[in-house]
Amino acid sequence: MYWLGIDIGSISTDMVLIDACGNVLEELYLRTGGEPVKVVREGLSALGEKYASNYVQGVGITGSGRNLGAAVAGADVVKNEITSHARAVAETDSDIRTVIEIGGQDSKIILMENGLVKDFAMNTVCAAGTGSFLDRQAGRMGITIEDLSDMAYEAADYVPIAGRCAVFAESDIIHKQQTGASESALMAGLCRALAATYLSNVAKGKKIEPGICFQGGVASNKGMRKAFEELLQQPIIVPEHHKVMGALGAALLAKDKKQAKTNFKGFETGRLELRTEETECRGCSNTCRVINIRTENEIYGCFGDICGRYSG
Amino acid sequence: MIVTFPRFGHSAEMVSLMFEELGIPCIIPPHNDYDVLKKGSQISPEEICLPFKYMAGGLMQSYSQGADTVVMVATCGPCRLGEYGQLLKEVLDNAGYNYNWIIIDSPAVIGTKEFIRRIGAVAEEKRPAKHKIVNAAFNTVKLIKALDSLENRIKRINGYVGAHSSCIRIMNELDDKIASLKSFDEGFELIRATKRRIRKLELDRTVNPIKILIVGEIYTSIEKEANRKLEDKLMMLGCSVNRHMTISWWIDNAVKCAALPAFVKNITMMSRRAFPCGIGGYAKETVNKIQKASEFDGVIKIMPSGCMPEIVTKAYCENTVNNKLPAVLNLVYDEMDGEAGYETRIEAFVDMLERRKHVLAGN
Amino acid sequence: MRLGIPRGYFYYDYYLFIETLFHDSETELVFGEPNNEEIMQSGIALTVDEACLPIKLMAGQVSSLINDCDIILIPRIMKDLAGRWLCPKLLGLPELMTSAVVSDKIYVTEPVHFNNKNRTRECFWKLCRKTGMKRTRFNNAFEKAFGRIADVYAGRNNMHVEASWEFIPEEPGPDEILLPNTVNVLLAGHCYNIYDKFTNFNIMKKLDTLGIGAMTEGSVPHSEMEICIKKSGLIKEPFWEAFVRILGTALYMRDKVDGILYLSSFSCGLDAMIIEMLKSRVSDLPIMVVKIDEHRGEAGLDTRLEAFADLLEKRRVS
Repeated sequence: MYWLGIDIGSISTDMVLIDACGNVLEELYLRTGGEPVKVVREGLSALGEKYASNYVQGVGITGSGRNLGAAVAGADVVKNEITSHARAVAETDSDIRTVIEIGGQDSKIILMENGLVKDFAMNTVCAAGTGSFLDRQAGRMGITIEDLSDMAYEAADYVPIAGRCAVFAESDIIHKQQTGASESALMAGLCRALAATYLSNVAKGKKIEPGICFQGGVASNKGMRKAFEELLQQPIIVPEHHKVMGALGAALLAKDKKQAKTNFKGFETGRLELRTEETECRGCSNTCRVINIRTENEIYGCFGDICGRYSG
Repeated sequence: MIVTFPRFGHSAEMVSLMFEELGIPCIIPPHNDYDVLKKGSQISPEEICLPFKYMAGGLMQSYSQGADTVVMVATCGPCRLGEYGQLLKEVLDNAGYNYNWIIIDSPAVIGTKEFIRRIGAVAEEKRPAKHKIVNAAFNTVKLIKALDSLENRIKRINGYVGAHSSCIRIMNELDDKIASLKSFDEGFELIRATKRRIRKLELDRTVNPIKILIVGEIYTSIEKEANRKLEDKLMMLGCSVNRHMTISWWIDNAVKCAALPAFVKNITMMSRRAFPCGIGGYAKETVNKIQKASEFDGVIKIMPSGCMPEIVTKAYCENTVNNKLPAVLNLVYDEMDGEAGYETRIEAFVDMLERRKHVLAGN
Repeated sequence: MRLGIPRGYFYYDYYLFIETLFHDSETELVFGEPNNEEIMQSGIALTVDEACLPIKLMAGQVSSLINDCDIILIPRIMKDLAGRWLCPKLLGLPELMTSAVVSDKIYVTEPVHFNNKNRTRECFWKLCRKTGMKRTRFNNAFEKAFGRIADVYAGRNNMHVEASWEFIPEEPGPDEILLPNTVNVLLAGHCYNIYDKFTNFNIMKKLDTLGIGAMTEGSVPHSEMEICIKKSGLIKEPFWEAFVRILGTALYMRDKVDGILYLSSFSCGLDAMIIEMLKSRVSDLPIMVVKIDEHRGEAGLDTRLEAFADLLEKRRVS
């Protein structure tokens, strides 16, 4: 028996397949690239080559595209990222009290107590405390994100960079480059700036207790881990499946639910031609925009209605 | 003279009924939506709070439908809401919307004589009989109150109804029907009919739903669009919802303020040292309400971005959040679209309360 | 006893009052040092995101004074002498400060309504009693101090802002020639922006270098402002003191200056409205708004000031 977890984010779409003991059998990390339906289908067909649909006992979906995902793949649990991440952390290590999660376009802090969420916060409108900050700056300087990670980790020193606003940071970096700072020190400075921005924005007013776990796409960056360790003066744990924690949590939540019959539509969905179509519901003054996922001649799934008239 | 006024929740429809009853033609601004906001933002100062932009947009639409006089109730500060009338006139005048303005200020500031003169100015052309005015005003208040208590009831029982969508559907249909009301009698009949519908719903008293209290800035609380249908979302998640700020509450509060002699208010203010001390807006009420919210599982505090009094309450809540206040989620609404972010936060908050509640209950 | 006075709102507007009140007493007044980068950074870390820069600076001030004083005074001023409200964030200043800096040294006065002299006296008596002042001595000092504010409002004293003294231009050196300022601007905005040299990058100096004379609300009697506001035909009685002061000054000065330079804190709620009113009511003068926030770029300000100076000069010539 397997449980499937899918995390559809703005940058990446992850899938995880777990067994009855919660072991991760498969993990997929795909680029969303603005086409979530296509990516979900790709992921499903990739898994479908190795596994049979009728062995899947339940499906959990999370991420900002969770409603879309549920309409495409069929889901037993549709949960937000925070609950999913917290669930995954509770499974991996019950001693963790603080979860730092930094993804491509958003970042969160989750405070845990006895395996339950005690408090949480997300970044507000600005992207300064997220992974895109590093992507953008590294890209501008022609350095891959992997190199950035190594350079920042090995750098002996760092250059202070004002990281509160991505635009101001850029002009600050240019200024520091002109004064002849070394590239590795600049990279370390970037990581440090992101970590500091995260702590002063997202984690503002939150008490960071020991047992700190760092996850999300940015967690594979060794330079970031080092920056957090230096700023917090604490060891930081990066869990094994840090990239797919959201999907893992969703799978675990589906497993917790112990639903007798799954709503999973099967790995075969991957082979269907699907397109999306938007209609406006005139049922009441809310005028919800309902989004239908269609095959050639039938409606495969839909979402976007507040009252549940269509999506049930 | 064709009267219009800024939208303020359901009161817009009720007040228009009142004007119609008195024979004063009036136009209700359209329901707030993205277009209204966009229109309003074009002429509003950038850093003004969100309600202003909605109001400006709504009044622009009324103007194009033929309205020529704005009637507006104003308070005397210290929050920005009090200065809205003046500034609305300024920006609308400059944009070429030449309205007449009748600002109903509190009698304590402009004097009772001037107050009555301004009220009279609204009804100048028709000169309806005095008892008719009193009667219409009475009915308006009565209908608003009945409506608020009805909505409160639907939101409360939502947690006990198996299919949460049925409550939302009743609410939405109520909204639609209110928009097409022709008279007070129809209004009261609508309320009776809706009550009958509620009674038919099957309630499961054994469930223990998550109870959420919504507090915060008044306009954002009352206008569905300004809080991005927060209540609908919570109801869909199966919560019992209670909102502190309602128009009925506002009416009661305004009457209380106007009726109580100044020295009574002075004593109550003097006797309290720290917060609660009126600092404008309804910051004091927000904090008082949060402090007494022990019957709720969680509190959602909403404000438009830049709302000055609510910034203070936010700091206050963050300060004492660790010891005695219930769990508080702060939501700040601004123009930038970010539907997904709000949704995630609201869902995660409800999940958090739910799991905590069940663990504490021993499951 | 050392009484700490943070260099924030209260300091700029009521310096004379507090100085006179404690003149020659056993209490030593400790004023916060002029704002600097360090104070700003510590303030930013302590306050809620949505707060404006003056509030953040104030929090930094309080935390820098905390170890050096026995009491730190945070007055809760509700209304000014003319009975007008302050901004809601200033009314809530005690809450903002006590949640930023947790300490029992912070002394919050009862709500002060300066338009009610007796109540004001009682509010400050409670503070002075704590510092060990005798009642008779307090009564005398209070009369004097209150008189100073009344003087300012009546226009009998316009040197009430200590910070403004520094703006009196220096005497020219032996080999310098004093050039007459050919254009004048009104430096408008809240007192904590106009008079704080750190927040405004010492804008008076910059203007002086550009050959622009600057005037502030400090030189306009409050009574004149009120008259100008009354004459302007507003449909709504204004209720903020800052609204009356800034708009009133601008209306009073409109014939005496060539332009208005408005210093405004980013996300200031009052300024959003006042600037709009200024633009609408004083439309014959060029107005430049300088936004002040924690992302400080001095070079940008210089460019804009120079451009503004050029514009004023062109207008004067034509």
